[in-house]
Amino acid sequence: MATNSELKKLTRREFLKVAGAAGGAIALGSVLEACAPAQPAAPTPAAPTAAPAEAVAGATPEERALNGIKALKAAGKIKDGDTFVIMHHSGQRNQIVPAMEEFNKLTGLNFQNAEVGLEGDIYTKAMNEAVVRSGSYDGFLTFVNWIGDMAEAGLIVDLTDWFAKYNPEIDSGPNAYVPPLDRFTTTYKGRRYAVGADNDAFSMFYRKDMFDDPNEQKKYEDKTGKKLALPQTWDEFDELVAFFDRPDQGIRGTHLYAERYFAYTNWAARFISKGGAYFDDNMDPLIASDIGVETLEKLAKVVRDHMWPDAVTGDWSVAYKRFPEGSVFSAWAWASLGKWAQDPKTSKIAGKVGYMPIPGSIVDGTLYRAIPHVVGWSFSVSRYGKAPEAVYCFFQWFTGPTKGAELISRIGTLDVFRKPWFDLQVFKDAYGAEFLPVLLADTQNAFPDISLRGANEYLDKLNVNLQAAFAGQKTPQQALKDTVDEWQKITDRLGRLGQIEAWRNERKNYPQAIQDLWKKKGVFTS
Amino acid sequence: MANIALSSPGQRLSRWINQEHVFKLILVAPLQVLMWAILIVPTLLVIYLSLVRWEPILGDWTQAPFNWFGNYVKVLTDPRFWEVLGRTLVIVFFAVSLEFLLGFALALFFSQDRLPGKRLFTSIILYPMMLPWVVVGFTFYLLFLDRGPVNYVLIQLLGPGAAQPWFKEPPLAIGTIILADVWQWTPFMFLILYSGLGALPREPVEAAMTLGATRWQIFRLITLPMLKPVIIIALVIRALECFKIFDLVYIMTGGGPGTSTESLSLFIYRTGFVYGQLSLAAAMAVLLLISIAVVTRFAIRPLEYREEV
Repeated sequence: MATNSELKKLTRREFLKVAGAAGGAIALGSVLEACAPAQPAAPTPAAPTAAPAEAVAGATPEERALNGIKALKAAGKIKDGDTFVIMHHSGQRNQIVPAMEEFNKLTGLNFQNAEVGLEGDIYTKAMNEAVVRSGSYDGFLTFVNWIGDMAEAGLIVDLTDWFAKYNPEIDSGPNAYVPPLDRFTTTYKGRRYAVGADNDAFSMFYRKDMFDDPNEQKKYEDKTGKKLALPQTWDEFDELVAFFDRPDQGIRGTHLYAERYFAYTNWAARFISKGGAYFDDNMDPLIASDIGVETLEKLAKVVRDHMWPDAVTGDWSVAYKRFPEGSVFSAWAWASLGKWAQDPKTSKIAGKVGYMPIPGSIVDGTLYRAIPHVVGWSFSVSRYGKAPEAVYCFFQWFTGPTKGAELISRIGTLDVFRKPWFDLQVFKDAYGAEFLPVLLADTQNAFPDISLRGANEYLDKLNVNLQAAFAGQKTPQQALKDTVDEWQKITDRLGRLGQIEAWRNERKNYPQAIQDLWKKKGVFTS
Repeated sequence: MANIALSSPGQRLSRWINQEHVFKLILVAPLQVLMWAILIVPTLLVIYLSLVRWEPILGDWTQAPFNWFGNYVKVLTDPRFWEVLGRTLVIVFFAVSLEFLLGFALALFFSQDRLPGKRLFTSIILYPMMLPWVVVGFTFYLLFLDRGPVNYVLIQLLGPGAAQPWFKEPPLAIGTIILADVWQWTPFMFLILYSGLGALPREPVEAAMTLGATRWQIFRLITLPMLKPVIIIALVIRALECFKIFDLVYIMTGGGPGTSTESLSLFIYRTGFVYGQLSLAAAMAVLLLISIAVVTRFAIRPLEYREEV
C-alpha cells in the first residue's frame, strides 16, 4: 500500500497518465467485449437459415402470415406487445406506417418504423448493424442489390424455408410477381434472402402533344423520308430525340441519366439488349468489348448533342424537374415520373404525356429489349432481431396480393409488382390506365442491377467512368477499360470463386429472351 | 503517532482525501478517464483496423487477418489517393488564401474608428458562417445550375454564349466549390483578424505616426508583425477545416464529373462506406491524422518560439 509520502510523489501529470491509460484500457475492453460476436459470423453458406417446417394453413399469403404469428405466440416465441423495428426510407412512410398500425391491431405486436432520410444511409446503418449486432433493427427495407452484401456479412436470414412454409405466392399462381421480379428481388446465390416489395423497372416518357402534332409528323417525314413512329430500337430513338431537340425553344431531345449515380442505366440497357453481359462465367468483365465501346460512343453523342448539361452534373431528381416543366421532349426514369408529369400540381405538361415501350436492339433480325430495374426495394430479416420469423410474417402480410395492393397503391416509393395488380382499378387510377400496360411489358424485360457482393463498388466504378466519358474527360474506350481494371481488382479482393458462384446465379435472373440471346451468341452456354 | 494508531480506516481515508492535492486529483479523475477513453479507444480501433484486412462483407472484424502495413502501402501507391490529395491541397490553398485576403481587408476596413453602421455590417458579415454547410452547398449548387441565376446574369450581360457548364468542367466545378467555401468562411477570418486588430496596443502606432511613418510602413512594420500570431492561428484553423472539406463537394458535384472534384474526405468516405473497405479507409484516416499533426506542428512553431523568447 502506498504511503502518504509516496502518494505525494505521484505528480498530477503522472496520475493523469496512469488514469488515462487505465481508462482507455477499461473502455477498450468494454468496447471490444460489446463488439465481440455473440456467435461467430460466417459467410453465406453457413449463415443461419429459417427452420424448415410444415406448411402453414391459410387461403392467402396474408392469412398464412397472421396464422404464423398466432403459432409463434402459441409456441411462446413471441408475446403481445413485443416490439419490432423496421428500418426504411422516408419515402415509404405513407405505405409502411399505416401497415404497421393495422398489423399491430391484428396481432397485438408492436411494429415500429425507423425512418432514414438518405437511401445510402440505409446501407451504412445496415452494415453497421452487421458489425455491432446490437439487435436494434429487426428488419430492413433496402435496395435489392444490397442483398448480397447483407447476406455475406451474415446480417440477414436465409428465408428459403419460410418461403416454403408460408408460400408468399411470389413465383407461381395467379398472384405471382411479374417475372423476373420474382427472382431478382428475392434471391442471392440461388437462395431467398428477401421479400420483394417494389418494381423499379425504368419507363420512357415523351411529349405526346409534340409527337402527335401533324405538322411535326410532316416535318419528320420530309426530313427523314420515314413516317414518325414510336422507336423500336435505340438507333431510332436517337433519331427521334435528335429531331425533337429544340434548344432554341428551350427544349432538348431527351433526359437520360448520365450523372454520378445512375449513369450506367441507359448504357446498360443498350449494351445488354445487344447481347452484352457485365461478366463472363469467370467474372472477367465483358463491358469493354466492341459492343460496349460502340454503345458508349453513340450514347455519349446523344448526351453531348441532345441533352441539357445537368443530365451529367445533376442528380436523379433532375428528370423530375426537366420533364414536368416541359424542357425535354422525352425522359426516362422510374414509374413515378409518370405520376409527377400527369399531376397538374407538379407539372406543366399534364395531359400531354405519352409512354413508349423502352427501345431495344435488333440482333439477327430479332428485337431484344432490356430494361434496367434500377435499385428497387425489398424486405430482409435481421438475424440479430428478437423473433425473425415474426418479422418475416409481417413482410409477407405487407406484400400479400390483397393487403399489398391497398398499401402499394398509396403514394410512396414502392411501386406495383404483382402481375394481377396491373388490372386493378386502384392502380389504373394511380398510374394512368394507358401507362400500366407499357410498364408491365417493360417489367417483363427487366434485368437487375449488379447484385453481387460489393455491388455498390462495382456500380460506382462504372458510374464514375461513364460520367467521365459523358463529360468528355475520357474516351469511351478508356472509360470502359478503366472500369474493367477496377472491377478485376474488386473481384480479386472479394474472392473470385465466390463472385463467380454469385454471378452464375445472378445471370439466371435476367429476362429469358436475354438469356437466349447470350446462348445464341455464345456468351454463356448454360 | 498515537492519534494515527487510534484512528479508524475510515478516518484515515477521509484524512487522505482531504489533502488538497489528492482532493483535486479525485475531482478531475473521472472526466480525465472518460476523455482519455473517448479519445484513445476510437484511435486504437482505427489503428487496429488499418493493420488488418477487413470489410464487413468479408466476415467478422475480430477474425480479420493481419495485413500489417499493406493497407498503407496500397493507399500510398494508389494514384487516385495522390490525385485527391493534390486536389484537396489546391482547394485549401486557394480557398484559405482568398478567405485570408478578403477577411483581412474587411477587418482593416472595419477597424477604422468612425465608421457609420459598423455594428450592423459586422453582424451581417458574420451571417454566412452561421449557416450549415449543407445549406451553403445547396444554395451554390442552385446558383450555378446550367439554367441558374449565375448563367442567367452572364447571358443577360454577355449574350447566350456566356453561359458556362459550371459543374461539367473540372476547373470550373472546383472554382465553384472554392467560391462557396470562401463565401462561408471569409467571415471567420474577418472575425479573428478583426478581434486581433482591436486588441493591438495603440502606442506603437501612435509613436510611429508621430515619427512620420506612412500608413503602409505602419501596417507592414508594426501592425502585421504584431498580428502574426493571430494570423497564424486563423490560417491553421481554417486550413485544417478546409483540408477536411466534404459537405460542399458532396452536395455540389458529388466528386464528379468522374472523380475530378473528389476531395480527400469524400474519397475516404466512399472507400469506407460505399465500397465497404473500412481497413483501407482507416489507413487513410491514420495517414490524414499524421499529416495534419505534422503540418500543424510546423505551422505553430513560430508561436512557440515567440513564447520562449
